[in-house]
Amino acid sequence: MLGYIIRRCLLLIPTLLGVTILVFLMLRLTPGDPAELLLGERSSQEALEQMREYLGLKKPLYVQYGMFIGRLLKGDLGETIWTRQKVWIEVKQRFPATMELAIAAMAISSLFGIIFGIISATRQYSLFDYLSMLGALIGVSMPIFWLGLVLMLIFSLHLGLLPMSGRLSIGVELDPITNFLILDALLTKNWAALRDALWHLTLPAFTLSTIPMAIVARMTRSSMLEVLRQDYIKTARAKGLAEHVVIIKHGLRNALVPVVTVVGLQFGILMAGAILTETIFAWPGVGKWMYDAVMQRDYMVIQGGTLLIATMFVVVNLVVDVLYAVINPRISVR
Amino acid sequence: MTCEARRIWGGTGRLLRLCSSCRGRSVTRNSEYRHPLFDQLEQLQRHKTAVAGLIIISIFVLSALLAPIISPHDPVDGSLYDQLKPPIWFTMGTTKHILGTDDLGRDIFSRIVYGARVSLAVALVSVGIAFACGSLLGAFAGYFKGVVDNLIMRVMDILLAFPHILMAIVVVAYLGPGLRNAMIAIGIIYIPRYARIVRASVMEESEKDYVTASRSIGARDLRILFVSVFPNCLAPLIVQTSLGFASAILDAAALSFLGLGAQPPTAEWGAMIAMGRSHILRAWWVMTFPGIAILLAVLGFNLFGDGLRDALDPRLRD
Repeated sequence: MLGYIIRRCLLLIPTLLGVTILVFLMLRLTPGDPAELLLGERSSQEALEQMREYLGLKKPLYVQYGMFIGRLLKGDLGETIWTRQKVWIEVKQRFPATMELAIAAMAISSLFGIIFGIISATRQYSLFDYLSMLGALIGVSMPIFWLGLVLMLIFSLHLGLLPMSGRLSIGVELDPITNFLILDALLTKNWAALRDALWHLTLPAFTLSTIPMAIVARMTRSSMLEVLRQDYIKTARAKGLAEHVVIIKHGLRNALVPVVTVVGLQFGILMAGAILTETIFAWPGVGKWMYDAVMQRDYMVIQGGTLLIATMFVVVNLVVDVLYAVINPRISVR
Repeated sequence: MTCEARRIWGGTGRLLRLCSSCRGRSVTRNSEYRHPLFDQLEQLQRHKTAVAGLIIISIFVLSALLAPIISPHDPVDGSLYDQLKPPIWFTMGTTKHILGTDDLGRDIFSRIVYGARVSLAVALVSVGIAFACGSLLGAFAGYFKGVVDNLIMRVMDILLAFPHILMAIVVVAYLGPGLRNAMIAIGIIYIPRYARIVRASVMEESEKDYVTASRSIGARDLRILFVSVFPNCLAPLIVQTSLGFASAILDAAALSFLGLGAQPPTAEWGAMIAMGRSHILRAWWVMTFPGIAILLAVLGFNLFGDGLRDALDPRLRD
């Protein structure tokens, strides 16, 4: 097992190197002077010259790549064009917002997805099963940017139940500690702020959770059906165990193994979906930041954000793979 | 009769020649034998989801092909007298505009009908790119194994390291916004899916006896790969193509919604939603109907893909 984990971790290195090469090459392959792209059109000659020196543009490509990696290892992701802030500092400010949204969406999607999946599987071919699987199919086909707007129209604009945008209402005070607002509110025992933050989180989190919820529900259903056909379920029933004990203790525990993997893999989808959801709900996270950067052609931010999200995605996938091997001793460790 | 060809999807004459048990037995002599395609079609018909998907897809394909005939108005020219007219069932609505008009007085129904052209074309081109590149790479990786396999699949891993819509956004950010670049971006990010599927099935197929047989009569690698092996790997690819259409339509709409795909005044569903967003309170219909169009089109391809998978690949059936 340890050998497997080490091998999987080592495989991470070429992938991550590949990611950096890709991100590095993208800027170089874009038509135009990279220095001008990074600094914007209205920059002075000296600044451009300085940037060319910084990037090593006069040196061969592999030296430039080496310098790029060197800067990355030092944590230097460059500066943004418009605010002249260090990209790294902006990332750190915005990252908790995205994580908060992604974790909330993941919690919602796993909870409801698994519940719907179990009920569908235990009542296969019932009306509930048909409806929830139809719902799941609609869920995976949903353009979430549209769903977000429709939810906003209904719940914020017409019913006035939930706020339209942002993470906190104006006037609500909260001392930032971790920048995870819900955690901060809990830590400082600021209940008004907690309520407000949860209130703001509801719509974006539900929007973002649609597709993963549908995928988890379908996966749970098929995995449950598979497990419920097994002999040990028959044995459990023959022993006279209560039906819920059979379903939950004997069925669900075994059925959840593949579901856990699927839930983990949804993380990447959530990070990407965050770009759309955050843009709609003006959620000040990495996704919105990336979108603004694309609109303003701020390539330093695009580079930094891409690297960050890709790295996270790869690492999460690795963790999921390893977890899968840990919780499922049956899989032969190749 | 166990016939290898029954397992092979869409058996054309060429495929049947691979099947040892049918060879020499002419179709007329053995009345029991039918072309396997009929079996598959019958299978497909029994899957109501696939049929439902096919009907939805046909409606969109027809409206794309017949857009000038179906749509009552020009998709790009509007009249400023008819700004933000509500749909027909409202008291303010007119019979002239069934689903209302947008802020430039353009007929929404006509724009949705023309939008089918854009979405289907984008899906066709991007899935085409992914299909061609992906299956070529996957076939080489699966057939030659070893270094070739490792090299190709590591590059695919790198592409897979980016959540897909993010990758598309980044590619478009560098190439510049526009439909053509959106198609290229979506095409590139879908390559690994096809490569992985083809690789797996080529690996499985190339262990089989008929490959050894071909090799022993002196067929060259490329011939074996593309004439004998590849056609037998089509079933999962076709399923993936239908599902790929679904996600390509979704991604293209998302890119256009963000302003990175279709540029105004092109009638594109995602771009229409983006326009409608600024009138969301005054005129909800401007953004609502294009969204429903996206949802239905994607649903159609997903239903069809799911049904196809059940019909073609019984191993994957729940």
